[in-house]
Amino acid sequence: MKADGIKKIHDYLFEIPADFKAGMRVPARIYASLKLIQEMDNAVLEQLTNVALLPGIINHAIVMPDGHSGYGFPIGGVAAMDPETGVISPGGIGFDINCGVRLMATSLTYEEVKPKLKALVQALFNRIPTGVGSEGMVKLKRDRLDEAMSLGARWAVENGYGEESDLDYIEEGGCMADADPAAVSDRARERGREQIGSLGSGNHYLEIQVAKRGNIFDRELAVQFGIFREGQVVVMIHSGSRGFGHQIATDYLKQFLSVMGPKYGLSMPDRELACAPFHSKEGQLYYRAMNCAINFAFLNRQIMMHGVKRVFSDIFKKSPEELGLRLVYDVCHNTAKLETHLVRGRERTILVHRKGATRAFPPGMKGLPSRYRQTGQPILIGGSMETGSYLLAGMATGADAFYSTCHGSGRVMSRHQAKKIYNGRDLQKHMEEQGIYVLTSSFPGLAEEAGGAYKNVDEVIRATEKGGLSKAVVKLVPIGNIKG
Amino acid sequence: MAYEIIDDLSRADIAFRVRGGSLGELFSEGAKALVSIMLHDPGVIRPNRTIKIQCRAGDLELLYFDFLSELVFYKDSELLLLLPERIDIAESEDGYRLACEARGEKIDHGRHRFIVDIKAITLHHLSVLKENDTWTATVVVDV
Repeated sequence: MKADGIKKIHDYLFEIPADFKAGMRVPARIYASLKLIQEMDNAVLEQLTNVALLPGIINHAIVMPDGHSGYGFPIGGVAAMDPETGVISPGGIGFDINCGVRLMATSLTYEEVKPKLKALVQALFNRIPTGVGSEGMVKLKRDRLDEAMSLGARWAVENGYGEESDLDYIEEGGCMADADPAAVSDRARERGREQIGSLGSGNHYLEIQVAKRGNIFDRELAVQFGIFREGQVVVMIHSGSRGFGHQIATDYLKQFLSVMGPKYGLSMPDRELACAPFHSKEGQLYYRAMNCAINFAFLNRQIMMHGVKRVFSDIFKKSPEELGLRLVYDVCHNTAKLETHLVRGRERTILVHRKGATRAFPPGMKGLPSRYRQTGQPILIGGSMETGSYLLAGMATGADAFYSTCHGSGRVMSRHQAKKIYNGRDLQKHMEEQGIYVLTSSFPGLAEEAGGAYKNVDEVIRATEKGGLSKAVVKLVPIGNIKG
Repeated sequence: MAYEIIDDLSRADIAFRVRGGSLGELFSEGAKALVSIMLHDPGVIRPNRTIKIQCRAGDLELLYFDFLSELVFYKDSELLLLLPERIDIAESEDGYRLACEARGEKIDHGRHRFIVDIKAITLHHLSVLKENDTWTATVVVDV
C-alpha cells in the first residue's frame, strides 16, 4: 500500500486524517510498521477510510498489523459504534461469524509425543471431520438446534461434551446472551444442522504445537496461562460457525441493502458495507442472529475439543486429566459485541466490530476469569502452518484500539498465486522434513496455505507489542496439523 | 466459455470472471465456474436430482448474487452439486426474476475431489455488464 497522505504518530502507529475522503466522520489509524504498511494491498486504505464513513463511529476506524483487504471492512478492521446513534454492519464482522481460535494445553512434552505423532495426527484426522461436505460430530433436529444456538458451548457441556469449568475459559463464557433463534432463517438452520463439530476448509485447521526452548518470552504469564515448561505440547483449533454463520451473513446483507437507503436514508460506497441502525428492527434482528452464530461457533469448537481429548486418551492410554488436557482460552476474531469502554473519560457501552481482529482485554478488565484477572486476556494468534502461532496477553495500553489486536499473520499472496508457486504434495513432504506432519483433505488447499503465502508472523506480533496492543508470551511451533 | 481467475481483486479469497452471449448463458457460466473452482474434475457431476431455483432481485447484480448463493446453499444443506439445465430471466415491475432448473447429485467423496470450498458469494466488486453483444460477470467468492 502506498503510504502517501499518511501521518506518522509513532513507528508503529499511523493516521489518515478525516479530510482524506469526503464524509469521513473520524480519522483512520493503522497499527503497523512502515514495512508492514507497504506490504498491505492498496484496497486496505480505501476500505479503512470507507469504514470511517459509517454513522456512529467512535474515535477512529482502525486496522491491525496483519491487515489486508476484505469485503467492506479490511480484514484486521476494528470499529466501535455508539449504539444509540450508530449502525451495525455485517461487513464489519465477516461471513464466518465468530471464526476463532481455541488453545488447549497438555502436560505432555515433545519427546513424549514424537514417537506417536503420526498415529496421533492420523487419529485426529479420522475423528475430526474436515473438508467440504463432511458431516459434523453432532447432528441436531430443529428444537435441539435452536437450544444449541441459544446456549453455545454451554449446550455442549450440558450434553456431555466437556466440563463446566471449560466455560470460564471461553470469551463470554461460551454463550452470548442476546441470541434469538427467531431471527435465524430456516436456510441457515438447514446449512448448519449437519456441521456441528466439523473443522471446515480454507485456512481452518487443528494443529499440535510445541512451546520450544527460547520461545517462552514471559515465563510468569506463560505459567498462568498453563504453559509450565519448555517442550510442552498444546493443541490449537481454528474454525468458525461454518455454513450457519455464512448463511446468516448472506441473509442479512441482502436485507440491509434493501432497507438502508429507502427506510433509513443511509448510503455507503460499497455494498459490502450495508448497514442498519443498531436499534432498528433489522439491526436488532441481525444482532440476535449473529449472536446465534457466535454461539454456534463456540459450540463447534467445544465439540471438536471433546473429540481431541478422546483421541489423546486413546493414543496415550491415559485419561484427559492425567494428560493435563485443559482449555487455555477460546477467542473470537469475527464479531460485533457490546462492551464497556472508557470513551473520552466516560464509561460507556459501545458496539465493537472486530473483523479479523481479536479482543485483547487488559489486566483487571471485567469479563476475564479469575485466573486471568491479573494477567490480562490470553490472545491466540494462528500463524501459517509452517511458521508458528502465538499466545499473547492483553495490555492496558490497548485502550485506544478498544482493546483489540491482530488475528493472524495476514496473506501477502493470493490463493491462486500460492498454488502456482507451491505444490501441495511437495509441501507436505517438505514440512515432514521440517518435523511437521500434516494431513489434508485437499492438496491444492494445502498449497494455498504455505508459509510463504503469509506475512512474517514474528513481525506482525512485534508490531502489536510496539503498538501497545498485546504482549508476546509464547511462540508455538507446529509439529502436526490436520487441514480441511 | 471458461471462467477466468482475477488475481488482483482478492488476496484472501477467489475472484473470477465469466462471459456469455446472453444473460442465461452468463448465469449458467457462473454456476459452472463455482463447481470448476471447487472440484478437480467438474465433469463427474451426474444429473440424478433436479432442483428448481427461483430468485427475484431489484437489479441484475443482486440477481446474480442470489442465484449463486442458492447453489452454495444446496451444496451445504443437501450436499448437492448442481449445474443449470435451463435458466429463464425476465424483467419484472420490481426488477428481475429468475427461474432455473438445475441438475446434479449428492457429493460423493470417492468421485468428487475438492480443491476448495466456496462458502459464500460476496458483493465485493460484483458486476454484471453488457458490452456490445457480450455479457460479463465478475464475482468474488469467500473460501
